Amino acid sequence: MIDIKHLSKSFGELKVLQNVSFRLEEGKVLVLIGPSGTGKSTLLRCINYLEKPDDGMITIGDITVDAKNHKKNDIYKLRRKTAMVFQNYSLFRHKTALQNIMTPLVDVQGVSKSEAEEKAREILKSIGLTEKADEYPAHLSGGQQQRIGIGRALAANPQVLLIDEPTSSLDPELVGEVLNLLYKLASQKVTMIIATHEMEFARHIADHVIFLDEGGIVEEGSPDDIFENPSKPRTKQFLKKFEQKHAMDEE
Amino acid sequence: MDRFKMDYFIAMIPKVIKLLPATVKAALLSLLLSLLLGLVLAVVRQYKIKGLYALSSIYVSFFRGTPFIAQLFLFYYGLATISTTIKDMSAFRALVICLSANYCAFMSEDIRAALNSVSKDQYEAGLSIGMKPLAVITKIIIPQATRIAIPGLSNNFINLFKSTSIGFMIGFKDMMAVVSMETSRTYRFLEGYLVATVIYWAIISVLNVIQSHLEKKINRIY
Repeated sequence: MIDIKHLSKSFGELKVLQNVSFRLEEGKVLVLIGPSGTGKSTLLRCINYLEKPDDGMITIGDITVDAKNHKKNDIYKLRRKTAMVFQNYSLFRHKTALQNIMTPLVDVQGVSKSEAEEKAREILKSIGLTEKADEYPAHLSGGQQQRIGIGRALAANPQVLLIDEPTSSLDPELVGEVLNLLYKLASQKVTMIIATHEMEFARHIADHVIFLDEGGIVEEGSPDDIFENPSKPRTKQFLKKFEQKHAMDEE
Repeated sequence: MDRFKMDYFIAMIPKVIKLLPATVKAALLSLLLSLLLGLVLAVVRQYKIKGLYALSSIYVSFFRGTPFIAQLFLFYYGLATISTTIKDMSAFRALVICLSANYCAFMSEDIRAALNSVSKDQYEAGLSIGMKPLAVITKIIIPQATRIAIPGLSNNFINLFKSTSIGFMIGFKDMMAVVSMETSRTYRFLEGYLVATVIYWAIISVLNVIQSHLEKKINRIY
């Protein structure tokens, strides 16, 4: 169970997140949509504490971190319950695909090397990249790198995967393989929070959708609520732009 | 007197080479110490560690901004007037201390630049899977930085190796010292110093080959 309460974050004068609260049940997928620069990434990064929120509470399972009052160790505990998938993959460049996936097992969980390798190979198989085990990231396509990034996050054995625009750095023909993997994880009931601009994908994978604008939640609900019957003008306006873009792409 | 006596030149070679181990020992010991100190300095400077940062800036500025021989004399002759420890210190030890103190300042800049060149996302990726900052630095950042730092560090080691020869000015018994002693007796300066020079040249050439091998090897990895 993930419970975010009154999360706020500013960069100087700029308020990036304003009093954001939501809950997410285990095994569900939450999708964050909204214009660029609206705080989707910052929200994910705050939950992982790569960004320190100014105010608010983050609860994941039995760990609660209060932005105003917490111990350093709580942050490490929180991070161990989350794992991030980055827009630019951010694989460890000096490690092979296999070693990347082994890192959370060996260097965080203290699993023995042989056991970690076995587990990492299982993960590689599940993401369909067994034959790329010994390749360095520089020799993999963007789509393959992102799948390894997802594999590394899975190896961290988190209670929630935080996925930040997983396909926005990818060539269009590589988007499918990453989205398919995420669909597969969703069907296996992996809890995920995904920020994305892929509206079709959002609609199909989400159990719950949050529309963020200017750092706040404008509207939230089931995919049908948001995509079929948005109630707020700003949501309508935002989705309309995407439909127009979609229509233009179709032509 | 012959202009160049070949047999004297050849006879000098083993006499000079006998002192090579002293040079190698001083150079390797100084390399080890300056790498360790350089890494500490670089981490302090890169991550702007409170309290130590200002001190490290002055340190690096001093050692990069003054000649090595002045530092060596200041330490061994200057500070000896106020410290019995230094007064009683062997020339070998004084040389190693001064070389390490000097070269760590240069090496820290190479290491810092290398740390700097590892992109920030690597650090964040490490944190994001639950690693602690020190673990990220030692397991993710330093291995990647090493590859970038190696050319600069190799050049510094080559300079360090040659700088050991200055030790003979404070009485360190190395190849230069033996040539100086021998030639002051025989007046065969040309042959004597040529022997020392050729030996230095040969060793540096070997180091260069090792360096380019090393660079090729690490560049192949990824």
